[in-house]
Amino acid sequence: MKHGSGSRRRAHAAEDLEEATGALLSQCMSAFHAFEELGELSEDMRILSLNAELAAGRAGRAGVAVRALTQYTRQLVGQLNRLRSDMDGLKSDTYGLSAAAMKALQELRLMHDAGAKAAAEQVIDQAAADDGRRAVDTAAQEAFQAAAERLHRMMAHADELGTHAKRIRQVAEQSAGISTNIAIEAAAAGPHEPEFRNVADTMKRYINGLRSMVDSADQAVNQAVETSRVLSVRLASARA
Amino acid sequence: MKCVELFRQGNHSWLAFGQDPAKPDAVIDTTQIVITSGGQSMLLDPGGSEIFPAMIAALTARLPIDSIQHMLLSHQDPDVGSSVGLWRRVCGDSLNVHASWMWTSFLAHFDGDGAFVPIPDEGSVVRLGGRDIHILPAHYLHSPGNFSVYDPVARILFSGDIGAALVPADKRRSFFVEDFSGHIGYMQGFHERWMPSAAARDAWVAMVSRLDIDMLAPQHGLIFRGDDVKRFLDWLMTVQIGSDLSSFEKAAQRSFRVVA
Repeated sequence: MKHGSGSRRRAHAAEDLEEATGALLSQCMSAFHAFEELGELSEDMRILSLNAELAAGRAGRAGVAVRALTQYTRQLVGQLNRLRSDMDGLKSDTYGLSAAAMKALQELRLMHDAGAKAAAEQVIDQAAADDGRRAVDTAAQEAFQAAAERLHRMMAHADELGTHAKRIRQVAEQSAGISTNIAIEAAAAGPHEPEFRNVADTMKRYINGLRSMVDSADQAVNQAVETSRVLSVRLASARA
Repeated sequence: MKCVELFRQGNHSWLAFGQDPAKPDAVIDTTQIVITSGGQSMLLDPGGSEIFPAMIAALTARLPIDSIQHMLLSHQDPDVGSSVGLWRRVCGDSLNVHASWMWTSFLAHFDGDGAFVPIPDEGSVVRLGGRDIHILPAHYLHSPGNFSVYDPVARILFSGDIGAALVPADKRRSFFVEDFSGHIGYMQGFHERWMPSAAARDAWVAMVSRLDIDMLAPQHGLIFRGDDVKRFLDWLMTVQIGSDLSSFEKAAQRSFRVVA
Protein backbone atom coordinates (compact mmCIF):
# COMPACT_ATOMS: atom_id res chain seq x y z
CA MET A 1 0.00 0.00 0.00
CA LYS A 2 2.89 2.30 0.93
CA HIS A 3 4.55 1.55 -2.41
CA GLY A 4 1.28 2.38 -4.23
CA SER A 5 0.87 5.82 -2.66
CA GLY A 6 4.58 6.52 -3.33
CA SER A 7 4.10 5.61 -7.00
CA ARG A 8 1.02 7.82 -7.27
CA ARG A 9 2.95 10.71 -5.70
CA ARG A 10 5.79 10.16 -8.16
CA ALA A 11 3.30 9.99 -11.07
CA HIS A 12 1.96 13.41 -10.00
CA ALA A 13 5.54 14.69 -9.69
CA ALA A 14 6.20 13.56 -13.27
CA GLU A 15 3.06 15.43 -14.40
CA ASP A 16 4.31 18.57 -12.58
CA LEU A 17 7.65 18.24 -14.36
CA GLU A 18 5.85 17.89 -17.73
CA GLU A 19 3.84 21.03 -16.97
CA ALA A 20 6.95 23.05 -16.00
CA THR A 21 8.81 21.78 -19.10
CA GLY A 22 5.96 22.96 -21.31
CA ALA A 23 6.02 26.37 -19.59
CA LEU A 24 9.82 26.66 -19.97
CA LEU A 25 9.60 25.87 -23.69
CA SER A 26 6.83 28.39 -24.20
CA GLN A 27 8.79 31.14 -22.34
CA CYS A 28 11.99 30.42 -24.27
CA MET A 29 10.01 30.55 -27.51
CA SER A 30 8.49 33.92 -26.50
CA ALA A 31 12.01 35.26 -26.00
CA PHE A 32 13.16 33.89 -29.38
CA HIS A 33 10.02 35.33 -30.96
CA ALA A 34 10.90 38.79 -29.54
CA PHE A 35 14.08 38.74 -31.67
CA GLU A 36 12.31 37.55 -34.81
CA GLU A 37 13.01 40.82 -36.66
CA LEU A 38 16.58 41.16 -35.43
CA GLY A 39 18.01 40.07 -38.79
CA GLU A 40 16.04 42.68 -40.70
CA LEU A 41 16.97 45.39 -38.22
CA SER A 42 20.68 44.58 -38.30
CA GLU A 43 20.62 44.61 -42.11
CA ASP A 44 18.93 48.05 -41.99
CA MET A 45 21.71 49.23 -39.64
CA ARG A 46 24.36 47.85 -41.99
CA ILE A 47 22.89 49.69 -45.00
CA LEU A 48 22.54 52.90 -42.97
CA SER A 49 26.21 52.67 -41.96
CA LEU A 50 27.26 52.20 -45.60
CA ASN A 51 25.21 55.22 -46.69
CA ALA A 52 26.61 57.25 -43.79
CA GLU A 53 30.13 56.31 -44.83
CA LEU A 54 29.45 57.51 -48.38
CA ALA A 55 28.08 60.78 -46.99
CA ALA A 56 31.17 61.09 -44.75
CA GLY A 57 33.38 60.62 -47.82
CA ARG A 58 31.51 63.37 -49.64
CA ALA A 59 31.97 65.66 -46.59
CA GLY A 60 35.80 65.39 -46.79
CA ARG A 61 37.55 66.49 -43.55
CA ALA A 62 34.17 67.26 -41.91
CA GLY A 63 33.24 63.59 -42.25
CA VAL A 64 36.36 61.93 -40.82
CA ALA A 65 34.89 61.28 -37.36
CA VAL A 66 31.53 60.12 -38.79
CA ARG A 67 33.35 57.68 -41.03
CA ALA A 68 35.12 56.14 -38.03
CA LEU A 69 31.81 55.94 -36.16
CA THR A 70 30.08 54.16 -39.06
CA GLN A 71 32.89 51.60 -39.24
CA TYR A 72 32.37 50.92 -35.54
CA THR A 73 28.65 50.56 -36.24
CA ARG A 74 29.39 47.81 -38.77
CA GLN A 75 31.39 45.93 -36.13
CA LEU A 76 28.33 46.09 -33.88
CA VAL A 77 26.15 44.85 -36.77
CA GLY A 78 28.56 41.92 -37.14
CA GLN A 79 28.07 41.14 -33.42
CA LEU A 80 24.29 41.26 -33.83
CA ASN A 81 24.49 38.84 -36.77
CA ARG A 82 26.62 36.40 -34.77
CA LEU A 83 24.20 36.62 -31.83
CA ARG A 84 21.27 36.02 -34.17
CA SER A 85 22.96 32.97 -35.67
CA ASP A 86 23.74 31.61 -32.17
CA MET A 87 20.12 32.15 -31.16
CA ASP A 88 18.86 30.26 -34.24
CA GLY A 89 20.95 27.26 -33.17
CA LEU A 90 19.79 27.65 -29.58
CA LYS A 91 16.16 27.78 -30.72
CA SER A 92 16.23 24.55 -32.74
CA ASP A 93 18.22 22.82 -29.99
CA THR A 94 15.66 23.96 -27.40
CA TYR A 95 12.82 22.50 -29.48
CA GLY A 96 14.66 19.18 -29.81
CA LEU A 97 15.54 19.03 -26.10
CA SER A 98 12.01 19.83 -24.98
CA ALA A 99 10.57 17.11 -27.25
CA ALA A 100 13.07 14.56 -25.91
CA ALA A 101 12.45 15.67 -22.31
CA MET A 102 8.67 15.43 -22.76
CA LYS A 103 9.03 11.91 -24.20
CA ALA A 104 11.19 10.81 -21.25
CA LEU A 105 8.77 12.43 -18.78
CA GLN A 106 5.80 10.71 -20.40
CA GLU A 107 7.68 7.43 -20.08
CA LEU A 108 8.45 8.27 -16.44
CA ARG A 109 4.77 8.98 -15.73
CA LEU A 110 3.70 5.69 -17.35
CA MET A 111 6.30 3.76 -15.30
CA HIS A 112 5.05 5.42 -12.10
CA ASP A 113 1.46 4.63 -13.12
CA ALA A 114 2.56 1.04 -13.64
CA GLY A 115 4.06 1.01 -10.13
CA ALA A 116 0.84 2.35 -8.61
CA LYS A 117 -1.27 -0.18 -10.49
CA ALA A 118 1.06 -3.04 -9.56
CA ALA A 119 0.67 -2.12 -5.89
CA ALA A 120 -3.12 -2.32 -6.24
CA GLU A 121 -3.02 -5.62 -8.15
CA GLN A 122 -3.99 -8.91 -6.53
CA VAL A 123 -0.68 -10.76 -6.58
CA ILE A 124 -0.64 -14.41 -7.68
CA ASP A 125 3.16 -14.86 -7.67
CA GLN A 126 4.89 -12.65 -5.08
CA ALA A 127 8.43 -13.22 -6.40
CA ALA A 128 7.33 -12.34 -9.93
CA ALA A 129 5.56 -9.22 -8.65
CA ASP A 130 8.69 -8.12 -6.75
CA ASP A 131 10.85 -8.67 -9.84
CA GLY A 132 8.37 -6.74 -11.98
CA ARG A 133 8.34 -3.83 -9.52
CA ARG A 134 12.13 -3.67 -9.51
CA ALA A 135 12.23 -3.70 -13.33
CA VAL A 136 9.64 -0.90 -13.50
CA ASP A 137 11.51 1.14 -10.85
CA THR A 138 14.78 0.76 -12.78
CA ALA A 139 13.08 1.81 -16.02
CA ALA A 140 11.56 4.80 -14.18
CA GLN A 141 14.98 5.83 -12.84
CA GLU A 142 16.46 5.63 -16.33
CA ALA A 143 13.60 7.70 -17.75
CA PHE A 144 14.12 10.23 -14.96
CA GLN A 145 17.86 10.47 -15.67
CA ALA A 146 17.17 10.98 -19.38
CA ALA A 147 14.56 13.67 -18.63
CA ALA A 148 16.75 15.41 -16.03
CA GLU A 149 19.76 15.53 -18.38
CA ARG A 150 17.67 17.15 -21.12
CA LEU A 151 15.95 19.53 -18.73
CA HIS A 152 19.29 20.72 -17.32
CA ARG A 153 20.45 21.45 -20.88
CA MET A 154 17.19 23.30 -21.58
CA MET A 155 17.70 25.40 -18.44
CA ALA A 156 21.28 26.15 -19.54
CA HIS A 157 19.83 27.28 -22.88
CA ALA A 158 17.43 29.63 -21.06
CA ASP A 159 20.43 31.12 -19.20
CA GLU A 160 22.35 31.49 -22.45
CA LEU A 161 19.36 33.20 -24.01
CA GLY A 162 19.43 35.69 -21.12
CA THR A 163 23.15 36.31 -21.74
CA HIS A 164 22.44 36.92 -25.44
CA ALA A 165 19.65 39.36 -24.57
CA LYS A 166 22.06 41.26 -22.29
CA ARG A 167 24.66 41.36 -25.07
CA ILE A 168 22.07 42.74 -27.52
CA ARG A 169 21.16 45.44 -25.00
CA GLN A 170 24.86 46.35 -24.74
CA VAL A 171 25.01 46.62 -28.53
CA ALA A 172 21.95 48.90 -28.42
CA GLU A 173 23.60 51.13 -25.81
CA GLN A 174 26.89 51.26 -27.74
CA SER A 175 24.93 52.13 -30.89
CA ALA A 176 23.11 54.87 -28.95
CA GLY A 177 26.53 56.33 -28.05
CA ILE A 178 27.51 56.29 -31.74
CA SER A 179 24.28 57.99 -32.85
CA THR A 180 24.80 60.74 -30.22
CA ASN A 181 28.33 61.29 -31.46
CA ILE A 182 27.13 61.45 -35.07
CA ALA A 183 24.53 64.07 -34.00
CA ILE A 184 27.35 66.10 -32.35
CA GLU A 185 29.48 65.81 -35.50
CA ALA A 186 26.45 66.89 -37.55
CA ALA A 187 26.20 70.17 -35.60
CA ALA A 188 29.71 71.07 -36.74
CA ALA A 189 29.41 69.71 -40.28
CA GLY A 190 28.07 72.90 -41.90
CA PRO A 191 26.35 72.05 -45.22
CA HIS A 192 26.51 68.30 -44.38
CA GLU A 193 24.55 68.74 -41.15
CA PRO A 194 21.14 67.64 -42.53
CA GLU A 195 22.57 64.44 -43.98
CA PHE A 196 24.46 63.48 -40.79
CA ARG A 197 21.48 64.44 -38.61
CA ASN A 198 19.25 62.20 -40.71
CA VAL A 199 21.72 59.31 -40.13
CA ALA A 200 21.72 59.95 -36.36
CA ASP A 201 17.88 60.12 -36.23
CA THR A 202 17.44 56.94 -38.30
CA MET A 203 19.93 55.14 -36.12
CA LYS A 204 18.05 56.24 -32.98
CA ARG A 205 14.88 54.74 -34.48
CA TYR A 206 16.65 51.42 -35.06
CA ILE A 207 18.09 51.49 -31.54
CA ASN A 208 14.60 52.02 -30.10
CA GLY A 209 13.47 48.94 -32.07
CA LEU A 210 16.39 46.98 -30.62
CA ARG A 211 15.60 48.12 -27.07
CA SER A 212 11.97 47.18 -27.50
CA MET A 213 12.99 43.66 -28.64
CA VAL A 214 15.24 43.26 -25.60
CA ASP A 215 12.49 44.55 -23.24
CA SER A 216 10.03 41.93 -24.57
CA ALA A 217 12.66 39.20 -24.45
CA ASP A 218 13.71 40.16 -20.91
CA GLN A 219 10.19 39.57 -19.64
CA ALA A 220 10.10 36.06 -21.16
CA VAL A 221 13.68 35.31 -20.05
CA ASN A 222 12.88 36.34 -16.47
CA GLN A 223 9.86 34.03 -16.50
CA ALA A 224 12.04 31.25 -17.96
CA VAL A 225 14.63 31.77 -15.20
CA GLU A 226 11.88 31.50 -12.58
CA THR A 227 10.48 28.37 -14.25
CA SER A 228 14.02 26.92 -14.33
CA ARG A 229 14.28 27.55 -10.58
CA VAL A 230 10.96 25.72 -10.01
CA LEU A 231 12.08 22.89 -12.31
CA SER A 232 15.37 22.52 -10.42
CA VAL A 233 13.47 22.24 -7.12
CA ARG A 234 11.04 19.70 -8.61
CA LEU A 235 13.88 17.67 -10.12
CA ALA A 236 15.72 17.63 -6.80
CA SER A 237 12.57 16.62 -4.96
CA ALA A 238 11.74 13.93 -7.56
CA ARG A 239 15.30 12.59 -7.35
CA ALA A 240 14.96 12.35 -3.57
CA MET B 1 -7.04 -5.32 -15.85
CA LYS B 2 -8.76 -8.69 -15.95
CA CYS B 3 -6.94 -11.91 -16.74
CA VAL B 4 -8.28 -15.30 -17.78
CA GLU B 5 -6.39 -18.53 -18.33
CA LEU B 6 -7.27 -19.97 -21.74
CA PHE B 7 -5.14 -23.10 -21.50
CA ARG B 8 -2.80 -24.88 -19.12
CA GLN B 9 -0.96 -28.17 -19.47
CA GLY B 10 2.04 -28.50 -17.18
CA ASN B 11 4.28 -25.48 -17.72
CA HIS B 12 2.53 -24.58 -21.00
CA SER B 13 -0.16 -21.93 -20.74
CA TRP B 14 -2.11 -19.16 -22.49
CA LEU B 15 -3.30 -16.12 -20.54
CA ALA B 16 -5.57 -13.39 -21.92
CA PHE B 17 -5.53 -9.87 -20.41
CA GLY B 18 -8.06 -7.12 -21.09
CA GLN B 19 -11.42 -5.54 -20.22
CA ASP B 20 -9.76 -3.10 -17.82
CA PRO B 21 -12.60 -1.28 -15.99
CA ALA B 22 -10.24 1.67 -15.33
CA LYS B 23 -9.39 2.13 -19.03
CA PRO B 24 -10.39 5.55 -20.43
CA ASP B 25 -13.46 5.22 -22.72
CA ALA B 26 -11.65 6.91 -25.60
CA VAL B 27 -9.12 4.06 -25.76
CA ILE B 28 -10.35 1.01 -27.71
CA ASP B 29 -10.45 -2.17 -25.65
CA THR B 30 -7.76 -4.69 -26.59
CA THR B 31 -6.92 -8.22 -25.52
CA GLN B 32 -3.28 -9.04 -24.83
CA ILE B 33 -2.16 -12.67 -24.92
CA VAL B 34 0.77 -14.24 -23.09
CA ILE B 35 1.92 -17.73 -24.08
CA THR B 36 4.28 -19.37 -21.59
CA SER B 37 6.17 -22.60 -22.08
CA GLY B 38 9.07 -24.02 -20.08
CA GLY B 39 9.64 -20.73 -18.25
CA GLN B 40 9.75 -18.62 -21.43
CA SER B 41 6.93 -16.28 -22.41
CA MET B 42 5.77 -14.62 -25.60
CA LEU B 43 3.55 -11.55 -25.49
CA LEU B 44 1.19 -11.15 -28.45
CA ASP B 45 0.10 -7.60 -29.35
CA PRO B 46 1.22 -5.87 -26.11
CA GLY B 47 -1.17 -2.95 -26.68
CA GLY B 48 -0.82 0.82 -26.75
CA SER B 49 1.15 3.06 -24.39
CA GLU B 50 -2.04 4.10 -22.58
CA ILE B 51 -2.71 0.58 -21.34
CA PHE B 52 0.93 -0.25 -20.57
CA PRO B 53 0.73 0.55 -16.82
CA ALA B 54 -2.32 -1.67 -16.26
CA MET B 55 -0.98 -4.43 -18.50
CA ILE B 56 2.46 -4.70 -16.92
CA ALA B 57 0.92 -4.55 -13.43
CA ALA B 58 -1.45 -7.41 -14.27
CA LEU B 59 1.24 -9.45 -16.00
CA THR B 60 3.91 -9.14 -13.30
CA ALA B 61 1.40 -10.18 -10.63
CA ARG B 62 1.46 -13.60 -12.33
CA LEU B 63 4.69 -14.02 -14.32
CA PRO B 64 8.34 -13.05 -13.86
CA ILE B 65 9.17 -10.14 -16.16
CA ASP B 66 12.42 -11.77 -17.27
CA SER B 67 10.47 -14.74 -18.64
CA ILE B 68 9.28 -12.53 -21.51
CA GLN B 69 11.70 -13.43 -24.28
CA HIS B 70 9.52 -12.78 -27.32
CA MET B 71 6.90 -10.29 -28.40
CA LEU B 72 4.85 -10.31 -31.58
CA LEU B 73 3.19 -7.33 -33.21
CA SER B 74 0.56 -8.80 -35.54
CA HIS B 75 0.63 -5.55 -37.54
CA GLN B 76 1.63 -1.90 -37.24
CA ASP B 77 -1.36 -0.24 -35.56
CA PRO B 78 -0.80 1.88 -32.41
CA ASP B 79 -3.29 -0.13 -30.33
CA VAL B 80 -1.22 -3.22 -31.18
CA GLY B 81 2.22 -2.03 -30.18
CA SER B 82 2.84 1.64 -29.42
CA SER B 83 3.98 0.46 -25.97
CA VAL B 84 6.86 -1.56 -27.46
CA GLY B 85 9.52 0.94 -26.31
CA LEU B 86 8.20 0.86 -22.75
CA TRP B 87 8.29 -2.95 -22.72
CA ARG B 88 11.83 -2.88 -24.01
CA ARG B 89 12.79 -0.57 -21.10
CA VAL B 90 11.56 -3.08 -18.52
CA CYS B 91 12.40 -6.33 -20.32
CA GLY B 92 15.83 -5.25 -21.53
CA ASP B 93 17.55 -5.52 -24.88
CA SER B 94 17.32 -9.31 -25.00
CA LEU B 95 13.60 -9.08 -25.84
CA ASN B 96 12.95 -10.31 -29.40
CA VAL B 97 10.22 -8.21 -31.00
CA HIS B 98 8.83 -9.96 -34.08
CA ALA B 99 6.98 -7.97 -36.74
CA SER B 100 6.40 -8.11 -40.48
CA TRP B 101 9.48 -7.11 -42.50
CA MET B 102 7.21 -4.50 -44.05
CA TRP B 103 6.72 -2.64 -40.79
CA THR B 104 10.01 -2.79 -38.91
CA SER B 105 11.21 0.64 -40.02
CA PHE B 106 7.74 2.10 -39.46
CA LEU B 107 7.55 0.60 -35.96
CA ALA B 108 10.89 2.24 -35.18
CA HIS B 109 8.81 5.42 -34.82
CA PHE B 110 7.42 3.83 -31.63
CA ASP B 111 10.85 2.66 -30.47
CA GLY B 112 13.86 3.95 -32.33
CA ASP B 113 16.36 2.46 -29.88
CA GLY B 114 15.63 -1.22 -30.39
CA ALA B 115 15.86 -3.70 -33.25
CA PHE B 116 12.97 -5.79 -34.57
CA VAL B 117 13.05 -9.37 -35.79
CA PRO B 118 11.59 -9.16 -39.31
CA ILE B 119 9.03 -11.86 -40.14
CA PRO B 120 9.05 -12.97 -43.79
CA ASP B 121 5.74 -13.02 -45.68
CA GLU B 122 5.32 -16.78 -45.27
CA GLY B 123 5.59 -16.46 -41.46
CA SER B 124 8.00 -18.26 -39.16
CA VAL B 125 8.27 -20.52 -36.13
CA VAL B 126 9.30 -19.28 -32.69
CA ARG B 127 10.80 -21.84 -30.33
CA LEU B 128 9.36 -21.17 -26.89
CA GLY B 129 10.54 -23.34 -23.99
CA GLY B 130 11.09 -26.28 -26.36
CA ARG B 131 7.75 -25.92 -28.17
CA ASP B 132 7.01 -24.47 -31.59
CA ILE B 133 4.73 -21.45 -31.90
CA HIS B 134 3.70 -20.88 -35.51
CA ILE B 135 3.43 -17.38 -36.96
CA LEU B 136 1.05 -17.59 -39.92
CA PRO B 137 0.36 -15.07 -42.70
CA ALA B 138 -2.83 -13.03 -42.47
CA HIS B 139 -1.88 -10.33 -44.97
CA TYR B 140 -4.56 -7.81 -45.97
CA LEU B 141 -6.62 -8.84 -42.94
CA HIS B 142 -6.54 -5.97 -42.38
CA SER B 143 -2.93 -4.76 -42.76
CA PRO B 144 -0.88 -5.69 -45.85
CA GLY B 145 1.77 -7.13 -43.50
CA ASN B 146 -0.29 -9.06 -40.95
CA PHE B 147 0.13 -12.29 -38.95
CA SER B 148 -1.84 -14.77 -36.86
CA VAL B 149 -0.30 -17.11 -34.26
CA TYR B 150 -1.08 -20.79 -33.80
CA ASP B 151 -0.09 -23.09 -30.97
CA PRO B 152 -0.61 -26.78 -31.87
CA VAL B 153 -0.38 -27.87 -28.21
CA ALA B 154 -3.00 -25.47 -26.88
CA ARG B 155 -4.90 -25.59 -30.23
CA ILE B 156 -5.47 -21.86 -29.95
CA LEU B 157 -5.30 -19.44 -32.87
CA PHE B 158 -4.58 -15.77 -32.09
CA SER B 159 -6.17 -14.00 -35.04
CA GLY B 160 -5.31 -10.32 -34.51
CA ASP B 161 -8.06 -8.15 -35.98
CA ILE B 162 -9.80 -11.10 -37.68
CA GLY B 163 -12.85 -11.82 -35.54
CA ALA B 164 -12.55 -8.47 -33.80
CA ALA B 165 -15.77 -7.08 -32.37
CA LEU B 166 -16.66 -3.70 -30.94
CA VAL B 167 -18.59 -4.95 -27.93
CA PRO B 168 -20.02 -2.28 -25.57
CA ALA B 169 -18.55 -2.52 -22.05
CA ASP B 170 -21.93 -3.38 -20.50
CA LYS B 171 -22.33 -6.34 -22.88
CA ARG B 172 -19.04 -7.99 -21.92
CA ARG B 173 -19.92 -10.60 -19.31
CA SER B 174 -16.82 -12.73 -19.84
CA PHE B 175 -13.90 -13.08 -22.22
CA PHE B 176 -15.87 -15.54 -24.39
CA VAL B 177 -18.63 -15.36 -26.98
CA GLU B 178 -21.74 -16.79 -25.33
CA ASP B 179 -24.33 -16.03 -28.01
CA PHE B 180 -22.83 -16.27 -31.49
CA SER B 181 -25.80 -14.89 -33.45
CA GLY B 182 -26.09 -11.94 -31.06
CA HIS B 183 -22.34 -11.33 -31.40
CA ILE B 184 -22.49 -10.95 -35.21
CA GLY B 185 -23.91 -7.46 -34.84
CA TYR B 186 -20.70 -6.35 -33.09
CA MET B 187 -18.46 -7.83 -35.82
CA GLN B 188 -20.30 -7.14 -39.06
CA GLY B 189 -19.48 -3.45 -39.59
CA PHE B 190 -15.89 -3.90 -38.43
CA HIS B 191 -15.16 -6.65 -40.96
CA GLU B 192 -16.98 -4.93 -43.83
CA ARG B 193 -14.94 -1.78 -43.31
CA TRP B 194 -11.57 -2.86 -41.89
CA MET B 195 -10.97 -5.97 -44.01
CA PRO B 196 -10.08 -5.02 -47.58
CA SER B 197 -9.50 -8.30 -49.44
CA ALA B 198 -11.99 -11.13 -50.03
CA ALA B 199 -9.23 -13.13 -51.77
CA ALA B 200 -7.00 -12.86 -48.67
CA ARG B 201 -9.97 -13.85 -46.48
CA ASP B 202 -10.57 -16.95 -48.64
CA ALA B 203 -6.87 -17.93 -48.50
CA TRP B 204 -6.65 -17.38 -44.74
CA VAL B 205 -9.81 -19.39 -44.02
CA ALA B 206 -8.55 -22.20 -46.29
CA MET B 207 -5.23 -22.20 -44.39
CA VAL B 208 -6.61 -22.18 -40.85
CA SER B 209 -9.34 -24.70 -41.69
CA ARG B 210 -6.54 -27.29 -41.92
CA LEU B 211 -5.62 -26.64 -38.25
CA ASP B 212 -7.16 -28.14 -35.13
CA ILE B 213 -8.53 -25.10 -33.35
CA ASP B 214 -10.28 -25.17 -29.98
CA MET B 215 -10.19 -21.40 -29.51
CA LEU B 216 -9.87 -18.42 -31.80
CA ALA B 217 -8.75 -15.30 -29.94
CA PRO B 218 -8.96 -11.89 -31.67
CA GLN B 219 -7.25 -8.73 -30.41
CA HIS B 220 -10.57 -6.89 -29.85
CA GLY B 221 -13.84 -8.23 -28.50
CA LEU B 222 -14.50 -11.78 -27.35
CA ILE B 223 -12.87 -15.18 -27.82
CA PHE B 224 -14.56 -17.95 -29.85
CA ARG B 225 -14.37 -21.48 -28.48
CA GLY B 226 -15.70 -24.90 -29.39
CA ASP B 227 -18.28 -24.91 -32.18
CA ASP B 228 -18.24 -21.11 -32.32
CA VAL B 229 -14.83 -21.31 -34.04
CA LYS B 230 -16.36 -23.04 -37.08
CA ARG B 231 -19.44 -20.79 -36.89
CA PHE B 232 -17.13 -17.79 -37.04
CA LEU B 233 -15.14 -19.10 -40.04
CA ASP B 234 -18.40 -19.92 -41.88
CA TRP B 235 -19.77 -16.48 -41.10
CA LEU B 236 -16.52 -14.78 -42.19
CA MET B 237 -16.88 -16.41 -45.63
CA THR B 238 -20.26 -14.69 -46.04
CA VAL B 239 -19.12 -11.15 -45.18
CA GLN B 240 -19.06 -8.57 -47.97
CA ILE B 241 -15.38 -7.75 -47.33
CA GLY B 242 -14.32 -4.21 -48.26
CA SER B 243 -17.88 -3.32 -49.18
CA ASP B 244 -18.41 -0.01 -47.38
CA LEU B 245 -17.71 2.29 -50.34
CA SER B 246 -20.52 4.83 -49.97
CA SER B 247 -18.14 7.62 -48.94
CA PHE B 248 -16.71 8.04 -52.47
CA GLU B 249 -20.02 9.05 -54.00
CA LYS B 250 -20.86 11.25 -50.99
CA ALA B 251 -17.55 13.10 -51.40
CA ALA B 252 -18.09 13.48 -55.14
CA GLN B 253 -21.54 14.96 -54.57
CA ARG B 254 -20.21 17.34 -51.92
CA SER B 255 -16.97 18.53 -53.48
CA PHE B 256 -16.84 18.14 -57.24
CA ARG B 257 -18.15 20.64 -59.76
CA VAL B 258 -20.79 19.13 -62.00
CA VAL B 259 -19.51 19.06 -65.55
CA ALA B 260 -22.33 19.81 -67.98
